[in-house]
Amino acid sequence: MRVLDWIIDRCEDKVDARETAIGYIPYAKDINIEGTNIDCSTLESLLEVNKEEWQKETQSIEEHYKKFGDDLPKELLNQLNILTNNLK
Amino acid sequence: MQNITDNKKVIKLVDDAVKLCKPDNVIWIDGSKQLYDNLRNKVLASGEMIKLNQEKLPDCYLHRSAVNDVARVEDRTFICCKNKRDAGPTNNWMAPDEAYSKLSEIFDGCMKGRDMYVIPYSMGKIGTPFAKAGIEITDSLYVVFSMEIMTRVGKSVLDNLGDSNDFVRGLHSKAQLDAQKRYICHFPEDNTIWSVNSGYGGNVLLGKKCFALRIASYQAKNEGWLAEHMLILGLTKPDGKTRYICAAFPSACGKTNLAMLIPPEGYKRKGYKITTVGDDIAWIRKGADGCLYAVNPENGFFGVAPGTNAKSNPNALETTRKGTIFTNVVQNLDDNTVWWEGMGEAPTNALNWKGEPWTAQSEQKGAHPNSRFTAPAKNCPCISPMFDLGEGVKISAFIFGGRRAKNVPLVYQSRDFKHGVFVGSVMASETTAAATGAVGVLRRDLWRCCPFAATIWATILNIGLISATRLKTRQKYLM
Repeated sequence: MRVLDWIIDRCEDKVDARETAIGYIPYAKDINIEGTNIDCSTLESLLEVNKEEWQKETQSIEEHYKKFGDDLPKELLNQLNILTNNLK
Repeated sequence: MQNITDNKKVIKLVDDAVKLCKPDNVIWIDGSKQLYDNLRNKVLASGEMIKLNQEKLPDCYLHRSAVNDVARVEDRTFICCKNKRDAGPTNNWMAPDEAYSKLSEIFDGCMKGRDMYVIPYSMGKIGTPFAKAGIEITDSLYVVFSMEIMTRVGKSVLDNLGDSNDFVRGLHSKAQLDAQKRYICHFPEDNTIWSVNSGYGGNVLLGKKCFALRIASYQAKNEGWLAEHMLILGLTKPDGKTRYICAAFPSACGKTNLAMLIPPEGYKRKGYKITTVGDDIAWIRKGADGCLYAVNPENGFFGVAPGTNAKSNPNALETTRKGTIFTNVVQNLDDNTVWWEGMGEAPTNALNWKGEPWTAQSEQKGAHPNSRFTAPAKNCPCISPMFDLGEGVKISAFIFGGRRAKNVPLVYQSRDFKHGVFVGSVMASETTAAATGAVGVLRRDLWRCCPFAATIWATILNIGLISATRLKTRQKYLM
């Protein structure tokens, strides 16, 4: 529910986000944890982006894309390159 | 029996099926109460369906499938397009000629001594812009009654179709329920599905996965729209405005529970509401304003029963209290109701999903883990008032999610549409026990369990988008 709320607020430009290598991530203060059994530090760890892990992720994505050969739209390969560069 | 259409293509389809399968009779499902009442007496007399306690579960029935026939069979499901390359690396391919030949042998005379039912049905509300017609020919009354719930069935479909050739052809027979000769074949270039030797769910309710996802994704590619494995929900905020979200998750990751989410008390008090447009399939088109609009082409829910209870999904449970067919669940013999794991205390005098005497002391589960309820959408307490809206609902966000123990943050948003398509195309999820194979292995086929994956992504990129929609991803959600 709380994430859905943030998502809609982002769609309507009602809340800010921080830009990272993989995309826009919420500021921890913008996810309402009142009434849940999650504390602030847990939430912050859920919002981390680990560069090393994501570099491995891009390798795995490259393997996945190879399966489609020439049928893969060039645009998707471009996006993969953008992500790889962002993680350097 | 008199046929109920003048459409020459439909008549030929049925004639060809009769010549091949050789049934005793042909019965057209016109949607009339009188016919359904007659057929209900027939299906109860044969034992194929069992009438449940009509006071506690009005209009509800129980069905047990064959023990060897309890789930969709991906390794016997084929995409039979002319070029193997078009089926893509994520599907099984068989050449169309080979498939027609192989299956014709199995269908030959398979309905001798049986009646053949011709079901005209619509995916989507009849006559609306997104809707598409189908004809399913079957020898199973369980299919007839299930299709009545899951789709819109009846003569009005044929009236609306008129002379048009634009309908999906489906041929199904239970045959001998022989698992070794069980095939579900799709012929996208012929708009045709053939399914034989199964009596179960997604293999035989041809409107669902076969038509609404597999065949539809081929049609969509050619016609410039999208057929997606996504739920559609409406989120109303305290300002009273409802925004709609499409979300794709793999099986056993909580799609139905999310689609029918009940906001926590604090949120409810402030005026937040969630309504359900669909829990499985979304057909999406670009509107005149450049935004994407989505429709749920189904008319019911074919949900997994075990785990559905008053705590996990009260709305789903409520949906099944009338007009529902239960498949492979426990039958409580004391009051002739149903039960499944997760529903609290087990009945003491019961039959399991195979129809054998069963108690909670047994080592085996009473309900099959893939046991189902087939329930009318209109029973759902949180069904969206826009459910029947032919033009579809405007989508504010697309969510791709899955099970990731680490690395992927709770939620993140793509920078732009193209980035979003990329993110959706590589979204991965750890395998669960719901599918055979190792558990916890990362699989990257979330957005695509359909043919033509790469070309679908190309279609989406070409459709483009104005800034009203952003793609997002999330790993799991907080209540």
